[in-house]
Amino acid sequence: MTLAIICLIFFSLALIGMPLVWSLLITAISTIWILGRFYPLEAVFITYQGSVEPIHLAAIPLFLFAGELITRGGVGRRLIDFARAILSFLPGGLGVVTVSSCTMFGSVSGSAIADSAAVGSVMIPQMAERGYPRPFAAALVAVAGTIGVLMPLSIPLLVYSFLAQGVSTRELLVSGVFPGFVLAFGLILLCIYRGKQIGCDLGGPMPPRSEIWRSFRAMLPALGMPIVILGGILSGFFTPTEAAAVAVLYGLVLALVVYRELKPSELPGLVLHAFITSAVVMLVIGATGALSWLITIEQIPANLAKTISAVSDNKYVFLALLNFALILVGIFIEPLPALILTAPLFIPVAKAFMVDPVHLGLIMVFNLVIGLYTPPVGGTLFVSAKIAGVGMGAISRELIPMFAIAIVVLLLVTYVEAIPMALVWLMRG
Amino acid sequence: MSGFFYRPAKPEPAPLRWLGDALDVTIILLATAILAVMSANVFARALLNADIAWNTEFGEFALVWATFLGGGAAARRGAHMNITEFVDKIPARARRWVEVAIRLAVLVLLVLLVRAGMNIVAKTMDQLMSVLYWPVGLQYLAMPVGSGLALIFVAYETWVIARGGEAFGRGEDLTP
Repeated sequence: MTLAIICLIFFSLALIGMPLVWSLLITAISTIWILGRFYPLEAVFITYQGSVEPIHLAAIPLFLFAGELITRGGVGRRLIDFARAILSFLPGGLGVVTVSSCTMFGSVSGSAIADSAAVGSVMIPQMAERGYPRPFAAALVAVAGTIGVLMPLSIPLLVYSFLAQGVSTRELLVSGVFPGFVLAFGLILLCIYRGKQIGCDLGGPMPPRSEIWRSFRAMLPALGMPIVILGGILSGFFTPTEAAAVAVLYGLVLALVVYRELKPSELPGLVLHAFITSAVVMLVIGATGALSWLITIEQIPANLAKTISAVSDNKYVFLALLNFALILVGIFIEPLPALILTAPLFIPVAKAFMVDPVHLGLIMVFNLVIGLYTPPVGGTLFVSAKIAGVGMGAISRELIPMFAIAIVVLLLVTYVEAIPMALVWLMRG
Repeated sequence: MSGFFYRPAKPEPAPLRWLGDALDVTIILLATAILAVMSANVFARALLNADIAWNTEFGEFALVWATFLGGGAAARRGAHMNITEFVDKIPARARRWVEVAIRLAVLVLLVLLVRAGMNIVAKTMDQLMSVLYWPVGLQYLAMPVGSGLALIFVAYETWVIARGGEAFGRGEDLTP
C-alpha cells in the first residue's frame, strides 16, 4: 500500500516533467503526510544532505571531468588509428575497428555518450564511404558505445557502489571487464559476418609494421591512463576518489602537454560542466537517500521480498523477473536516474535471495544501458542517428541482431556468474 | 575567463546574470580546491608516507557546497534531470500551465528546504568539526543557500513561462 502511494505520487510528478530531485523530495514529504506519520521534516532534509556528504562521492565529478578531458583532448582519434592499423585486414574490418575503438575509448572515458560521439564521428562517415548502409554503422556505434559503461572507469558502476553501501568499489569496477569483452566479441563476429554479406569490406593486407608501431606509440600515453588508475585502485594505493583526482591530472597532461588539443582557456568551462552535471546526479542520489530512509523505516523492501518469495523462492526466477523489470524501466528512463531510483529497492530484496551485491550491480547496469539504444529514446541512439543522418525506423531494423547479441550476453552475465565474478573472486582470494 | 559564462538565448536581467556568474566562479573555485586536496593527499602518501589530516573533512565540506551550489546553477540552466517525453506531447497552451503548476509546487518545496535548512543550521552552529574546528552549521548552510539560489532561478523561470516564454534548458543530456 505504502509502495503504491509512493509510486503513484512519484510517477505522476516525474512523468509531467518535474525534475527528479524535487519529485523525489515531494514524494517523501507527501507520503509521510498522507500516511499520517509524525516523522519530522528536518529528518528528511538531513538525510537528503547527509546522502551527498561522503567524500568518496567526489569521485563522480572528478571522473566526469577526466572523461571530458579525454574526449576533448584528442585521445579518440589515436585509439581509432591504432585499432585500424591492427584490425582493418579482417573481413568487416571497419566494423571491427569501430567496436574495438569503442571498447578502448570506453575504458578511458567510462562514458557511453562520449564514446559513441568520439568514435561515431570518425567511423560512421568512413563506414558509409566504404559501402556499409548508414543505419548499420549508426546502430553499431549506438550499441558498441555502451561497452564503455561496463569498463573500469564506469560512472554508473561507481554510482551503484555508493548506493549499495558496504560494496567494494574495486570489485565492482573490475566486474564489468569480462562482460564488456564478451559483448565486444559478439559484435565483432556480427561485423565479420555482415562485412562478408554486404561485400563492401572483405579485408586486405596488414599495414606495414612501421605504420602499426607509429600508431601504437601515438596511442601509448592514452593507454597509460587506465593502467595507472586501475593499478592504483587494485593495489590499494589510491582510494577511488584519489584515483579520480589522478585521472584528472593524467587527463590534463595528455590534453594540454602531450597531444596539445585543448587550450588552457577551455578548462574552466569543462570543470563547470562536469561539476554541474555531477551536482544534478548527486542531488538525485541525495533525494533518493531521503526516500530510501522512508522506504526502509516503512519496511517496504522486506515486504517486497516476502511478496516475490511467495511467487518463487528460486534465485534464478528472481533474477529473470529483475531482468525483465529493468529492461522495461531502461526503455523509458535513462540509465543513471533509473539506477538511482531502482537500486535502493532491489538491493535489499536481492540480499534476501542471496545474490552477491557486486553481481547484482553489474546485472542492473548491463540491463539499464540496453535502454541507451532501445527506441524510442536512448542517448547513444540519438547521438549515432544524428551523426549518421538517418531515422529511427531504419536504425531499428539494423539494431535487431545487435539487441539479440546483447540479450544473450545479459543472460550469460546473469546465469554464468563466473563471467562477471571471476576477477572479483580472484581479488577476494 | 569570460568565454565559459552561461548566456541563455533570452538574456537574463542583470542582477540574475551577476548572481549566476558569481555562482559559476564559486563552483570552479570549489572544484579546484577538491582536486587540489585529493591530489595533494596522493602525493603526501607517496612522498611522505603520511595522509593529510584535514583532507576528508575539508573535501566533504567543499563537495557539499559545490553540490548544492551546482544545483542552483543547474536550475538557472534548466539542467536538472527530468522526463520530457510525455509533457512534450501536451498541446503548447496546456503545456505552459502544466509547466507553471510544476514550478509553483517546486517553489513551495524550495521554501520548505530553506526554512528547515536554516533551522538545522541554527541547531548545529555550536558543534565543531573534529579536525578543522569549523562550525558544523557552516556545512549544513549549503542546503538552504543552494535551495535559495534555485528558488530565485525557478521563480524567474516561472514568471518567464507564465508570460509565454519557453522553459529553461529542457534538461541537458546527462547520461554517461
